[in-house]
Amino acid sequence: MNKERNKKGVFNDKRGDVKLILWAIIQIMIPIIILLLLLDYIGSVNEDTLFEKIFLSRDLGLLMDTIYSGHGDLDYEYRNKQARLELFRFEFREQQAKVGELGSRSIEVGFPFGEDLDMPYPGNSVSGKSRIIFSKSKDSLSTS
Amino acid sequence: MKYKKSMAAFEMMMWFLKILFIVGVLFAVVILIRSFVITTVDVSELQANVFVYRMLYSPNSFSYLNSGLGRVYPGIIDFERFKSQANEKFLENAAFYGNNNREIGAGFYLKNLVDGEENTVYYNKDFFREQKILVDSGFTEGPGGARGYAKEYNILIKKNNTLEKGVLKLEVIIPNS
Repeated sequence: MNKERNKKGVFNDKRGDVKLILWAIIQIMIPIIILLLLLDYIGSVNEDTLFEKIFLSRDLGLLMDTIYSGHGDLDYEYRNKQARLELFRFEFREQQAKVGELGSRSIEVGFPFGEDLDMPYPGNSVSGKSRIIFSKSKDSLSTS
Repeated sequence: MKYKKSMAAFEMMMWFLKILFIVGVLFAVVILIRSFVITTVDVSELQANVFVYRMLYSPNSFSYLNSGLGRVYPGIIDFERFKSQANEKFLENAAFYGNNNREIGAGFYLKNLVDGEENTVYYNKDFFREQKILVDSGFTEGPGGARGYAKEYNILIKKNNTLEKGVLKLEVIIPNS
C-alpha cells in the first residue's frame, strides 16, 4: 500500500491527471498529422507533370503542322524554357505527338497532327534531351 | 463526481465540434488548391488557324502552284484543282489525321465574282456535316460540342490562264473532345 502511494512520475503519480496529459498530447498530434497530410498533398500537386505534358503535346503537335505547311528545306531546334524537356519522353507516331515521363509507364498525353502523305514520316521517339530537332527536306521529315 | 463526468462529456462534445471544423478546413484548402490546378489547354482556334494556313500555303492543296519554280501563290486559287478535289480528295492526303479522322473537318466555298459560279469542296466531309449540326445548334461548349471557325478571303481564281476575282469562304470545325 505504501509502495503504491510513493509512486511518482508523469503517468504513475496519482496526484497527476493522466487523462489531461493524454488529451493535451492528442490535441497536439491531430493538427500535426493534418499539417503533414496537407504538405504531402501540396507536394504531390507541385510534382505533378500533367500540365507540362498537356502543354508540350499541344505545342509539338501544332509545330508539326506548321513544319508540314512550310516550303523548302527546314531545320528547326525546339527548346522550351517553361518545362524541362529532358524529363520527358516524346513520341511522334501515327499522327500523334505524345509526351510521357522518362523511365515510367505513366499516362501519355497526345495531340494529333496532320501528316502529309507525300512526305513520309516513319515515326520517332526522342527522350532525355533538352532540345528536339526537326528536319524537313523536299521528300521527308525527321526528328531527333 | 458528477461534475467531473459532466466536464468530460462537455470536453468530448467540444472535441467532436473541433474535429468537424478541422475536416471542413481541410476540405476547403484541398478544394482551393484544386481550383488553381489547370488541366485543360484550349488550342482549338490556333489549331484551326494552322490548318487554314496549311491548306492555303501547301503545294498539295488548291492554291496555284508554279511547278517550274516550285512556288505556291496562296492568294490565287487553281480552279481546276479546286474542282477536282471533290473527286480526288487530295486535301485529305495533304493533312492526314488517320483513317478515321475525328479531329477536324472543313468546308471551302469558292465564289467567282465575275460569272457568279459557286463551288464547294469539303475536307473530311461526313465528319464536317455531322459536327456542323452541333455548331449550328449552338452546342459549342462541353465535351460533346464542337466549335466552328469561319474565315473569308478575297482571292483570285486562275481559270483557263486568266485571273478572275473571287471570294473564298471556309469553315473549320473542331470538336471539343
